[in-house]
Amino acid sequence: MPLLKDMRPGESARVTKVNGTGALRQHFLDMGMIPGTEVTVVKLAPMGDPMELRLHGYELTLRVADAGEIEVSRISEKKEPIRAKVTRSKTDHPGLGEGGRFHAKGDGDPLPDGTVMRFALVGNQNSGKTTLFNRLTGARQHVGNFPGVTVDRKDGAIKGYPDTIITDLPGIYSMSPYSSEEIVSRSFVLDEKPHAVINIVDSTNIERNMYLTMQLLEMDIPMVVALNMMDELTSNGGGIDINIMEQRLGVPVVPISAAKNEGVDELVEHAVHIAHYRERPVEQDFCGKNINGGAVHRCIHGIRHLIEDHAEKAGIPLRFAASKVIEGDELVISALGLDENERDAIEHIVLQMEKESGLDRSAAIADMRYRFIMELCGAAVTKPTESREHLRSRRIDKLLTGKFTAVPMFILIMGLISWLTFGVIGAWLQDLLASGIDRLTALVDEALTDAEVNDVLHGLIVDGIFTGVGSVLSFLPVIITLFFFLSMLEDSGYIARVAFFMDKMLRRIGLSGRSIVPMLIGFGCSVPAVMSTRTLSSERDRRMTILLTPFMSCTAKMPIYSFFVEAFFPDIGWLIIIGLYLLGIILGLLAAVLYKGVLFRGEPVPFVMELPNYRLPGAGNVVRLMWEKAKDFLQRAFSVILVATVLIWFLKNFDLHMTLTADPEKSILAAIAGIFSPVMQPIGLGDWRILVSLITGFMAKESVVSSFGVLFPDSASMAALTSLTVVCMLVFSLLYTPCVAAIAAIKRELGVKWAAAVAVWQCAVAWLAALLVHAIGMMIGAG
Amino acid sequence: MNIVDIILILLIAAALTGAVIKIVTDRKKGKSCGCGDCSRCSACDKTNRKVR
Repeated sequence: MPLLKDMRPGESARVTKVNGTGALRQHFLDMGMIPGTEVTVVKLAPMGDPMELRLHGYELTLRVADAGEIEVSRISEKKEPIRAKVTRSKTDHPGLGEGGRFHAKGDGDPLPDGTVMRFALVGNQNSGKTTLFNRLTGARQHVGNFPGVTVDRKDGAIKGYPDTIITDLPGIYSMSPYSSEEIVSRSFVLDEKPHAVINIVDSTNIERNMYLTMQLLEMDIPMVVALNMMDELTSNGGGIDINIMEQRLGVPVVPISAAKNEGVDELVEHAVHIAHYRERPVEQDFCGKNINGGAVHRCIHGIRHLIEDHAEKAGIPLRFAASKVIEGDELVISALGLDENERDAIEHIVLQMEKESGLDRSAAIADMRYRFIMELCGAAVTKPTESREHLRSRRIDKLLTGKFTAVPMFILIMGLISWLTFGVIGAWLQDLLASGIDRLTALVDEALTDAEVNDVLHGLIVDGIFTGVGSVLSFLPVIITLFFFLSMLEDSGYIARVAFFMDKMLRRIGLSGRSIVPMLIGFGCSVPAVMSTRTLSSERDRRMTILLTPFMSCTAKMPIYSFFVEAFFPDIGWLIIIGLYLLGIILGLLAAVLYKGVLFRGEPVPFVMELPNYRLPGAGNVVRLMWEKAKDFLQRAFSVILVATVLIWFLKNFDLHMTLTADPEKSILAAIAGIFSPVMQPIGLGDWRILVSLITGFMAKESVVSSFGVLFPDSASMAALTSLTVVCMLVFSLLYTPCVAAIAAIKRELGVKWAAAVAVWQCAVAWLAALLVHAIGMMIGAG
Repeated sequence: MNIVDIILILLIAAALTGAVIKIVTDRKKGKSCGCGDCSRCSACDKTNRKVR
């Protein structure tokens, strides 16, 4: 039997069997890779692995080795879907979730007045949940165009309905969670029992999205289906007969466009109605009496009766429990507390079903769900031949993920971003702001002199506050520019492609392609980068990726780089900055090899990821992110950095007897820092002023610059530093311990031991790297 | 010490007090880790607090 991995790009096949075991196999089935599904190989990644497939109208990527687990039969001539004009008879509107003439459910048992209604927003990854959440609540949560932007739950009240709480959950493909953030979603629906579920479905990718809908219906919770991105579907000539959909699913179905705020009010009305009147799904029996001779139908119903009392006791919806028991979900089975006889009876029923249906248990359940979905979509959905968005994505992908163009284009894009940020836009704006700050400082200096202000106070304001805070503030434009480009990468959908073609390369160092996402986010800030590792499905990959994020230069380190290269290497400034970024990446790769050999033996997790269509980044989203970053940067400049600057100024200008000293060598700071200087002597950073600057960087990296500005107030004092010292300083700053916020994030994710280990380890790495640079510099006479 | 000195000292003291209060309360409440990416990340509960 041919295997999927043997198929060539452009060839199509029908899945005949899905081999393998465990969570990965279940994930394949959940993603629609079930016997009978037609699959087309779109392309192989530039290095020949992973492969991109098209099935159920969407793009899925998986590794060639994993494709070896899937048996297929070739289709000699792939039939293109014919866009025939479908004539449907008019179907009455079932009127579910509203007080219409068919209002048959929930009349007798509404929630008591004043009850705070809890809603869960559940859907596949990248289906627009957070966009809808923002619409519903007026919140401004970050949205992006790659699977797994949301990694934790977020709560808010629906606008105009103060007695409601809606929870935005990480995207899931099924109720069999595959990664840690998916467990958050499943646990929420199962354990916290919301009053209603808003199931958001991407209508441009309806078959795969409806798989989760099927499982949610089994939960027996009031539910409304929101068909999102309807504008995209209809503008491409597609359509959905909402009445048929609503009638067959037995829950209210509302077409919406969260991005354009269309249909959202109607959705809210339905959601509030079903939650208030506790209107549960009308229909749950999707197993089809005549499919595969009714084997699955009889199996599910038989087991339902067997476990009914256990499910009631455990508080698990009966139909859901029956399906999960058949699939062999250990969590549900143990929660039910079945005795040995019952387990035996169930096993016999399932074996008989497998025999009759010719499918194993997991495949049979997935097949049952997908059959219903295909039948439903056949009756209710008019598909466009190919959407404009998909056509555009295919064209762009020819260049951005092409065999010979993907890696050069990636390097070109990253190079362009660096050049524009450090060499053109950011640098120009920075110069502009710096000259403004200089002018203001001069004005204040003049005003203070005219007002005959006390010399000490004059020094504190001009040499302390203005020099320190001002030196940091001038880097704001560079940071904002870099964030602008990072946000464009995230929102466009390119980041998922980078994961796709980098997978093989990353696998060599023990990681999966998905690890590239946290690392790219790490160039912005380590804290969200650490959080975003939750999308990785194995603890091993997660830990390893977290340990690598400190090697990526976050934007807070940029003021350090810019400050020193401007002062010491003005002609080749941006080249040195790019060199530092590359050094971080290279050392990160070496560290990964080390981690793989020592700490994290074993194989990286399989790479199974959906490729979204490219989208034009939303201007509002990009501007919002830039504004947030600017606001937080300014807040930090006038809080942590202001305090640090004043403190450094004070410690530098007073001696241990608390008297003002003109000689900084006699200051409190020199006395304290001098104790630690010998440690930094071998790497050329023995000057106590450098040491103090680096220590303040632990609070916030930008503080290194402000402290440096206070401690080295003029070019004469800076002249004492050699180029080699500055290079060692840059290398040390690149690698030493992440700031306190990043360490706190690591502590939250991995625990206190790992966080402490990261802080110490990064300092050791930085020290060793700086020692090497110093030694080489001394050898070539650069000292 | 003239009147301008006194005004400046008071202003600096007020700014520093405000900054320290902000740092302490932010860290205490877990309000902000200072990463500036609150809309994207849930490392702190700033967002939840704000939305609620």
